[in-house]
Amino acid sequence: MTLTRRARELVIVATLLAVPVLFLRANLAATEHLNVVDRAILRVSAPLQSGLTGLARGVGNVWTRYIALVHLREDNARLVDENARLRAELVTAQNGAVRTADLEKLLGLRGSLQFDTLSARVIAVETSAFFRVVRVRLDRGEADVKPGMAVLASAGVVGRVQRVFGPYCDVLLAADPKSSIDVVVGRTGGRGVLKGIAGSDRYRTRIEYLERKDEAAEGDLVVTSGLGGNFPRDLPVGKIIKVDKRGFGLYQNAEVQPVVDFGKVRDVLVVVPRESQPIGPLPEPPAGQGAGGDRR
Amino acid sequence: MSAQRATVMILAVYVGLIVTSSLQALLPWRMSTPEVALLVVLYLGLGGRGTAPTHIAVALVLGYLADLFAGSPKGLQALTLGVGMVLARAASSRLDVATPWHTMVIALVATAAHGLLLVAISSSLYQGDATSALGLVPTTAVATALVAPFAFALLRRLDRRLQPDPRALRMS
Repeated sequence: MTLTRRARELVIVATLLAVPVLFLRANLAATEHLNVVDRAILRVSAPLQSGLTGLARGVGNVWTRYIALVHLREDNARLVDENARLRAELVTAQNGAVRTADLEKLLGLRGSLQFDTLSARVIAVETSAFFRVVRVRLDRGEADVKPGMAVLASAGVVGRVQRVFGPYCDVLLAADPKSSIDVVVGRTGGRGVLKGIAGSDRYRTRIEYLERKDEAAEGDLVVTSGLGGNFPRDLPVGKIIKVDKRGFGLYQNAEVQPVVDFGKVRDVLVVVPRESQPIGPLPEPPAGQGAGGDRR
Repeated sequence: MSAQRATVMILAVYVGLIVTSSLQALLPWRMSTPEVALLVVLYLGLGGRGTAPTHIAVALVLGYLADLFAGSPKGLQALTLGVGMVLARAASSRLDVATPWHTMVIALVATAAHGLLLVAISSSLYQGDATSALGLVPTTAVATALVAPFAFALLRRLDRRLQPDPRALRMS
């Protein structure tokens, strides 16, 4: 390779590498912006992800049934199989009951909220461990959903919509370091900002800017404050598992275990605030189940 | 590198990203996902076939797809994979990737380095907590290393279909 050609290649490589640098500078803060090409690729990909997920679930079901129906030659084998099949059915029924209960809770939550919600189903989960985003399929189109809207599971807060493309959207999990949600400690009323913590072993979050004088303790329930405009008040977020008062200063940190198991979320609701109806408090929950009932 | 080969590699990453994200949605437990795009960058870079500009261009497209699927800022993984391609090409004459063990070790080291670079560049997103993000690096590196021999074998198969003459492949 001649020197000129090598120099020319170096210039081209340097120029090519400058392109993502420029893109990164422009997009580092705002990841929700999608251009026409991005939308097109994501709109093509999301149905494929949805189809693949459905296919894998179907194959899993067929496999379970096959295992339960082979070895039918002798009575003993038949009885063993029947037992296995009944056990499998019991597991399926139990799973169905759990899912039904989950959906019932979602329906109950939907009924108790003072604003519109859209149901959605999770079709794909984070492709990079460094960025915690799940993809959901909405039951309506992008005209109804906008970035920033709250996403809830039956147990509590999942995160917020990061970007929307057609009938799909990406949800930034509350456990992502980019996520910040205004919260209060239910027992004391102390306010803080819930942020995600990157970690490989589990989904973790922590409350920052929680005033040192607030006596937060392990086991305290953390709920949304309703401030900030995206999340309704008093939605469960997590439970405090560790309080850190080390050092000096005005604030303390508290590690929070999310109430939602993000790895198992299958169905969610997207909160769609009405123009004329700002997000407000939830109705008073039944005794003993209050999200923030004992607030000081 | 021919346009056909580049397209096949890009499509392979596209399919890999879709499969990875869909399977993750089905698993009842959380696991670190392999860096599919990085594996293809390593395969192309260490293979050494083709000019540097075409390899970098392919790496940028792969990075763009990875950014799009992961929800990371556009340009982030395009940049890290572009740099990865430059380094892989530079190391191609010095590294032997003849056995699965070699492939795993190289993928492990490369993924760890890629993860560190990714966290370093995007540290502002972690709002002062980039150190906890570093905890993700080892598990992602191990997951990628475990998948690497299979991915390389698959990519070699694809390459053989595109170019039947085995002498044209440096990594046989």
